[in-house]
Amino acid sequence: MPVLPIDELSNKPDQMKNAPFFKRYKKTVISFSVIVALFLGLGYYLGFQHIPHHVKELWQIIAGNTNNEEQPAMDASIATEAVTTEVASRAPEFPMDTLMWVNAIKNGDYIPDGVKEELAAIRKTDFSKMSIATEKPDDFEIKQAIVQRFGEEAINLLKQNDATLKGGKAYNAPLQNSEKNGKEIARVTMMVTAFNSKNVNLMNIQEPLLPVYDFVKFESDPNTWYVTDISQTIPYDYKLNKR
Amino acid sequence: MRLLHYAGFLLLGIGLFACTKKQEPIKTNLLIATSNGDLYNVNLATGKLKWQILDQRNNTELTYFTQQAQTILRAYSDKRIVEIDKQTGKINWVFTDKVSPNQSEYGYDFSDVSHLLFAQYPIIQGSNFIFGSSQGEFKSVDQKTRKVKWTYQIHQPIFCSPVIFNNKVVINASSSIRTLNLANGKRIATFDLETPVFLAPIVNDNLLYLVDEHGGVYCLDADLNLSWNHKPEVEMFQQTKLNFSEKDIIYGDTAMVSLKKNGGELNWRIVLPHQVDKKWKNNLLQSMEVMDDVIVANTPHYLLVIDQDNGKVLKQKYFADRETIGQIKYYNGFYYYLCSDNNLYKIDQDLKEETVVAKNIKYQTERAMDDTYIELY
Repeated sequence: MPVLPIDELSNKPDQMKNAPFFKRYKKTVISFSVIVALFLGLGYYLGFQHIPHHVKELWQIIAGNTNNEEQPAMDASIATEAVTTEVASRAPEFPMDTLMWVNAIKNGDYIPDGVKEELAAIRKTDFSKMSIATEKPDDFEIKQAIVQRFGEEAINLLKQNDATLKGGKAYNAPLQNSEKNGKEIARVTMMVTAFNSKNVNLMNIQEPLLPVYDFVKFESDPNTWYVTDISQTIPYDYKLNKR
Repeated sequence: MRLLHYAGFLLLGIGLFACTKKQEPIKTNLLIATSNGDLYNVNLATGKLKWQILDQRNNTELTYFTQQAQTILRAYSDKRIVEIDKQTGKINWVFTDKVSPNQSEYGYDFSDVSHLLFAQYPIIQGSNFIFGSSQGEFKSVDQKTRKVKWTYQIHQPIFCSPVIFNNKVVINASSSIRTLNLANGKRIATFDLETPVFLAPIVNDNLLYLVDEHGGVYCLDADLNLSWNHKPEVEMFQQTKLNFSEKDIIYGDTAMVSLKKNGGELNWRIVLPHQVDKKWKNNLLQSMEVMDDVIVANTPHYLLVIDQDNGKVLKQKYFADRETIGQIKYYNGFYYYLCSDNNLYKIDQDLKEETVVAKNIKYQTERAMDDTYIELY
């Protein structure tokens, strides 16, 4: 074993110290850069919110199908739990013409993303407990409430399309008393559809007009219906929209 | 020696800085609008009328005007908005407001309401002027074409002018304050009021201030979020608009109140001087001007100089045989005001030397809602 001179031994660490930073940490810098570039690339193309999902997927592939038999059962329980929670806490949605979409699926038409899931959710929704409202705004009151809420934009849309608004079946909705608006004495959810003078169904024409609203009466102004956002999901009104 | 050089440079610097500061042009003319619809342009140096526009159309309430470089945009309560040449007093054009054909679509009942413009300026924004009418319509109108660009309908008459704040139109819908998109009149935000507000909101230091009909003051941000609310211990009625100093808000009716701009805490409250008089309005505050460290205010029978810090009356002038009418205006060492003898007066800051500036300024109407609005240029 050669014996190195003392000064040579002591010089070795100094040479390392004197080497440029990049040279000293070449591997670390390159690895770090690659990781950062990958991370940013993933974030840019997929969105950071997707990353955990893809990592999970990757992990499942690496881990292999270890619990193949148990998996469906777990999925089912999660799915059931998720659906139950979804029905209870789901934000109210616009009524869906399920017949139209089912036919479209049958015919192999183009189905936008989310429609099938929405159809499934609607099918699981229990509408049987909803009570049909006897007190509801008539077509004139509907128009006034909507015009008062959306102003010139709504008036111009109706005029340009030679349209009148018609209300459908109304469902009682829970009253929402607030300090700001005072005590509610009636709240109903109903579909509202625009028809032109040739009785062509124009649906909601376009925003700000919507296919469904809540109509509310307040104790402080018991003769006026006001329009507001829906508080519950109601079934699609086929009778109204067949007219 | 070196010290002298430094002093020289310092003086030179001050001199150059002073030279670059723009001097405010000297104001030579006073414009006064009166409650009978008249508008007078008075030369301050000579006291002579440069021109006058006598309305003679039975208008009985004060409306305001907005100055532009060469013109004045004047609203009249009988629903006219008029552009006037500042130099000659010639009327360039007249816009007469008409109820929008869409109004009937809303289902609001204005059948018993006369179509009038109450307390409108109108406000000018770009090439448009914006105003509100007793028919519940706020409108933006192109100055050149006089075509209505947008209308925003509310359910009740409009009693005061809209204002512009952060590039939005702020409207007072009595029971709520709303912001509208300047370009299309679409509603952006709403602030609901517990007590109605009848005066126009005021913008100060990038905040919006309101005073309700009981003297409650609200401070809102640009998104109409409430910063603070002051409720007076003694309710106030017929109060003046809010006035602002650097740190305080001052307003009043038969009392004058000072609040802290930061938080709305009460600084002081004073009852205005009162002389036994048959007329009910005898110590009702008409207007005020907030100066450096004092407030100058007028009631029908008093001109008062009040200490901003504590509300102490420092100087006063009592008018035994006449009343002051409407607004007081300060300029260049003098306070200007109209009196019930139809003379426009000016008085020095010590409230000692009073002189007549112009005579025969008419304001009287049968309804006796006597008021004036004064601007200078």
